Amino acid sequence: MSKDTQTATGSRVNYYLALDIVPGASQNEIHHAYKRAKITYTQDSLAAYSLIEEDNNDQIMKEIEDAYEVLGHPSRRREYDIKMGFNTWNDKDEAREAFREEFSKPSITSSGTSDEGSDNPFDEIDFSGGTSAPKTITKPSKVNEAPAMKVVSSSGADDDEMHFEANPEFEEKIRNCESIDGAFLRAVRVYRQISVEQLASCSKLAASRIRSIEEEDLRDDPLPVYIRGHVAIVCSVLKIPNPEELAKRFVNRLKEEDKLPKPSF
Amino acid sequence: MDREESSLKEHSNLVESQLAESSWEDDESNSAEPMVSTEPVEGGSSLRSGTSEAFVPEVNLQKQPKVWAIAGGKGGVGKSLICANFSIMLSRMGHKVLAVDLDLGGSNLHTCLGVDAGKNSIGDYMSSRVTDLRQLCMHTREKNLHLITGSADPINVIRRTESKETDLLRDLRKLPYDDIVIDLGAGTQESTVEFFLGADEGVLSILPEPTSVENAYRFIRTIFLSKLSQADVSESIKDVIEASFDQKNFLGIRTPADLMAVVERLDPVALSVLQKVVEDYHPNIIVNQVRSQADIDVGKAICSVCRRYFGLSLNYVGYLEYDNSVWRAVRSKNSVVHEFPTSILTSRFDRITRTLVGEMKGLFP
Repeated sequence: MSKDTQTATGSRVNYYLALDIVPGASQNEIHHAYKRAKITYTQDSLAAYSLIEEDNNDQIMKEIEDAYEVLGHPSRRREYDIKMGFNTWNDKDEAREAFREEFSKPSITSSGTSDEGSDNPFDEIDFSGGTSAPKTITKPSKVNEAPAMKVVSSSGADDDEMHFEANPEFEEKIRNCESIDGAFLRAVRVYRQISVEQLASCSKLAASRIRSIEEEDLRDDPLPVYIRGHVAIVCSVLKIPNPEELAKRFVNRLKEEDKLPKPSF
Repeated sequence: MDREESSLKEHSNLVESQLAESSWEDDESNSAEPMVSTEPVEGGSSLRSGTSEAFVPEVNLQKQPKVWAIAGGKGGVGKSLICANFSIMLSRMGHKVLAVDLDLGGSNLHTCLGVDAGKNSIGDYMSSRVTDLRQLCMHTREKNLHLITGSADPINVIRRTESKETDLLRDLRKLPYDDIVIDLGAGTQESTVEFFLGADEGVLSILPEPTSVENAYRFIRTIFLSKLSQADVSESIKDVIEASFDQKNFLGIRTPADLMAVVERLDPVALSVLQKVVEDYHPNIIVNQVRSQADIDVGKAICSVCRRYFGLSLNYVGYLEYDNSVWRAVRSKNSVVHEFPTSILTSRFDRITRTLVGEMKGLFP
């Protein structure tokens, strides 16, 4: 993979120019620039079809993918920036962008469809920080009850309590969600700063089971009959309201998408 | 012919009688206070006579005006609309502005400004019947805005344009204005391209439609190659650039990248000269008649494609919504800014003007 790409006039440009952004751009800007670039260089793009030939278009798309492959990941981007001499990072940025990276997968929004303007559920969240105090949650006493975790002060935390920085906007998104998918469950888990193992411990489910729900890889599941119940438990532990209904919709959607195991009888 | 000469003589007398007076109303507030009001100037809605309003501004050798050229590559993309309303907005910011209609053969800038055509036009200069451009300047409804029409141009004036273009641009720069806004014609004929390149700032109007985008690229390709051919490089390199105007040239140059590759092989120093020329040139674009966010984004996409394909960094200075106020203003033979001072298009023109003069940031990059 080359580190640079080249313009029509022969000037060598970096990955940032490949996405038409400046080195100081935020991860969110990089994400949007990548989406815009992909739209710009599709074959039927109004801006490109009459000027850029198909072969060149493919090459450009590859350059865009190469650029995003590096700039879209904060750790790789940082390495690249250091190598290229772009001093655009500080510790706060790194922590923030690492957090963003965790939530970079598309999610189903509260209306049940992907957001047109952004497929990143955290694009709408203000990461400037400083407005909300750290909170802790404790493990549920009964897995089928929602919410099963209670928020307590960080000073009273014990081994079973997990710290996370509350984000009002994302909390509202969780409260208002009408349907879920595996990526969203994962996003909520990472936001709550709960590892798969911790979630497994709280929910009494196997870690592999939680991973398969998050990845929606349930086709070979030996216990398909329990999927709905397990999703409801995960929702409860993660303090997502209305777990039973959300789990039902989750399973119905998987059925429609033919992602559930076929009955063996 | 006798009648034309007598008319010109009459006009000349009128001009001389006004020569003693200062052409600009010299109140300090004009230049000190930016005119941001969108209210129309009093004066009724009927068209005003160009001849009776003719005047001669004083020659100011101290300061040269900034020349803006509005082009589009295609007809009907809103060049005159943008030229008229941009000129008005500039004049309301306190600039002393002259709008010039060089859309010869299709001139209607005077109508977009709500001004009567008048008897004299730029055609008189092109035909050498008038040598002093000041004799062609007309008042408009705006105190700080004057106009040279192109309406009464002789049929053969287009053929004469190319020989007079250098003189015209030179003479325009001698006029006592802060800004001169030129409305250029459609297409990529040499005179249009020369005026566009000769201006201090070029503005390209594009519609989010295949026909307009194709013609815009054709225009950009022409100005790109013309700009390169003006660079300080050897004759052999200029020959290569000249050959690349023809898409089916014998050198096999099809794209700017091909051209640069050939130049690099022949003369690496010339390559850096040409790259510098391209890097330093930033034409502006406006996307007109947008109906959706996707249409607005077409402007950004065009900028991105041009940077990749030509290496040119275009400034996307703004967009104009598809709006009924345009045809309603044209039906009323008036400008949008005058006819619909509170419309969204008026605010868009205000924003575009501020972006072009550097007060605001553009949409891309």
